[in-house]
Amino acid sequence: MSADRLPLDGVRVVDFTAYWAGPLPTAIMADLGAEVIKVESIQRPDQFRIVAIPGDPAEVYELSPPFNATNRNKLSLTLDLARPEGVRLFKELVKRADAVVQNYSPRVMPQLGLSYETLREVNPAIVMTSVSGFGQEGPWRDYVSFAAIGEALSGISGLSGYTGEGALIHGVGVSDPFAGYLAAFCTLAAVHHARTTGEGRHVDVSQLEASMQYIADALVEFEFTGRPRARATSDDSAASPHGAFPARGDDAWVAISVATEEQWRALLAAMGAPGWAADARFATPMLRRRNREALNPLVAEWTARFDRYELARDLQARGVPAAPVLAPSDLLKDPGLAAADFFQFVDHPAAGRHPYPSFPALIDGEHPPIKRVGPILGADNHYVLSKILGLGDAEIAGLEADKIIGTRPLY
Amino acid sequence: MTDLLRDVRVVELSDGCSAAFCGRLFARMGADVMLVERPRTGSAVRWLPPFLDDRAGLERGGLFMFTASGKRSLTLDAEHPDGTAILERLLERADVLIDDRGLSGAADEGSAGRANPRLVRIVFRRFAAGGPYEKWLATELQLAALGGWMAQLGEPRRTPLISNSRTMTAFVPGVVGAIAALAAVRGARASGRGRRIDVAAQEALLFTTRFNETFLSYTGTEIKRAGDRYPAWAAYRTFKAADGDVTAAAATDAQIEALMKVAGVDDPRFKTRRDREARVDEFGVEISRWTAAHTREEIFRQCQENRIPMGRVNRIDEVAAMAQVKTRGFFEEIEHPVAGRHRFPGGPAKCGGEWPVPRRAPLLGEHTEQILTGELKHAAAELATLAEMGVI
Repeated sequence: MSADRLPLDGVRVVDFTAYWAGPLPTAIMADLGAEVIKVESIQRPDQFRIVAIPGDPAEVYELSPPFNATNRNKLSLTLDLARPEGVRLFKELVKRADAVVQNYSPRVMPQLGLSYETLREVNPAIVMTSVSGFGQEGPWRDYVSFAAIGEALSGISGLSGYTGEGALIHGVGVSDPFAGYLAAFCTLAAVHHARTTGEGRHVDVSQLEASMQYIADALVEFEFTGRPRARATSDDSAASPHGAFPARGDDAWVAISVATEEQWRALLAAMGAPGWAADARFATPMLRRRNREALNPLVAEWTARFDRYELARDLQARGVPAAPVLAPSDLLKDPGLAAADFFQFVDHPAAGRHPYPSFPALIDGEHPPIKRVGPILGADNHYVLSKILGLGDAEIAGLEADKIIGTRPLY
Repeated sequence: MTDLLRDVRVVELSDGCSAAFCGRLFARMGADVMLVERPRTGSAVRWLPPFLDDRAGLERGGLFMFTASGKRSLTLDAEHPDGTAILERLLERADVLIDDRGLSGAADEGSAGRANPRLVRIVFRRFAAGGPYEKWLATELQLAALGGWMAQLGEPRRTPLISNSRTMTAFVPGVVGAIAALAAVRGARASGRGRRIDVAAQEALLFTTRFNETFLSYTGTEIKRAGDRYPAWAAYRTFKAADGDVTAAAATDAQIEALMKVAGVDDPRFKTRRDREARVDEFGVEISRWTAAHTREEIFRQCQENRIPMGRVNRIDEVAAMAQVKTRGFFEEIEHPVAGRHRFPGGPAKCGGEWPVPRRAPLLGEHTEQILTGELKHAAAELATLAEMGVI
């Protein structure tokens, strides 16, 4: 595919985003071939450059792993949008773009003079996608949100933790990507429409509303049965045993699901038909589920003797769904991901060579390439201003002297 | 007008939630999504819980009603030669084929839709084809284990967890696939050439975690589940309130200092970021003193009014009642001939200030005749024969 065009070749996106929920959809569009111009300023770079990595901001702003990973395949332009010249240049870019994606609080774009209404005057076909915590209107529109807030309010935290215990933080930070994915899809839908009709749209994605869509099973269950689902250690699956059981070694676990009689018999056979197998408490799937507090320790005592990979392979060979629980260090060397070339090793001028996950789809058999990661702040100022906006060298030098553009943050 | 994809035609062959959610996203944005279902039993998604009043039935499945909103249903035995021929004719006119039933084959030779060079074919599978897990059995639990999610939920020394929702993981490959497929439709409109897209659930889940492998490679530090907090951030964690839990996600120093002010914590031990990170637990104890004396709602309101990212942890029975959710009109009422009138989550997003038009899920085979006689111009007599042979 490398010699070929990517699906979004010819689509241009202005990215005015920070942290993760906004930068993720534009990263996906960049992976799929769009030209994505990430707009920051030396006055105020994306905070993801500094909060996600310990150290002095002035030293680490090119070294943030999640920033560099999330902003792959993008160009970097700095523009001080607090000054009219910056705003003017932003609008010039909008004239030549298909979409603007931003994830600031709903007050910010109008304050900068860059509301959707203004941008539409500049380019009637422009799509503007706003990703926010709560949406562009309503009593909470100006409230502050990060991933964990969307999870708490949406009900996700109400489903995440041990039976009868308190809420835990989902380390995945799910509500950011949940919103980001829907933003990517809706932006592309609106770009498709704009390319056909010449008519743009303002797309309004809320993290809270996005998160609720992914737990549709629990929300519809409440509507259909009146039963509010709660946190459950092994989830509410009808299967039992079902969950992560300890394996040999430090923090080593194997995830096992036994749903059918065949699987139950296969598990018992793997265990060498233990004496308790005939226990009346475990005679049927219903009884095993009801008595799982008694059953789980018996299974755990057995699983703890084995290596998690070997145990999973053995159970799989016997027809029982089982898998090792993989942490980041395992995933980096996972044979399945390695066989698929899922991690791409990419050089970065400041950070060196590191692995980055591919966009998780094969396009005609290959992952889209990651040509570069985490753009160096302002690295593409000259390219964007001269090649896309047609500015001369003297004008660009003037912008630099006025600190409208630059390459070093003013921390 | 939110039917942004009204000129896009999708044929969906789905038995799982990932493909069904992919199709839902197209249908919600106005695409014509034709769900090709087995005669008599329909898509397997119809038989996934929850069910209306807990009784399983063809037209009683809540996940089907949610994911099939706005789709049309055509029954067809896609493995019968006459069924295959009809499917081919549908695909000649389609932009996208969504498939988790393996009907589009691995090679182009003999695979569905080969006559349409513009067709975008998207295939959902659990693991990458040709890899060591290809044949592995997996429920959402094994996918979460191999996709890096389980290691990120739970307390450090205790058993790792998944959240108590299957759709939470199952919808992730679905939306990833929908994005790639829609991008490929755009590409096909420009170049006249369709694409084949393969989504493996393991990869889609892993891409959704916060680049922890890259973080490990840069820093040597492995991020793993840390119970009620996010590792190393002093005020990104849950606290006990008088009536449940609240979650703070204070990231910047300004937000953390505002939280200290609201909570009345004025203590030289926590003056700088470095101080707070060095005494994360003691810092938590001080903030907890304040949260324990207030309700979730009081803490949420007071913090948000002071621009501190704070959320109350809602139970499932509380979410639809949130003021913001009601004002925005996120939930939608849909009338269904069997289920009656019910409230469903809406989405995916507001476009031009409007939600997509709420549309109900189709009954099994509801549009078979409309599609076969009205659009593919089969004679009515042929339909009777096809029905007799069990093809439709």
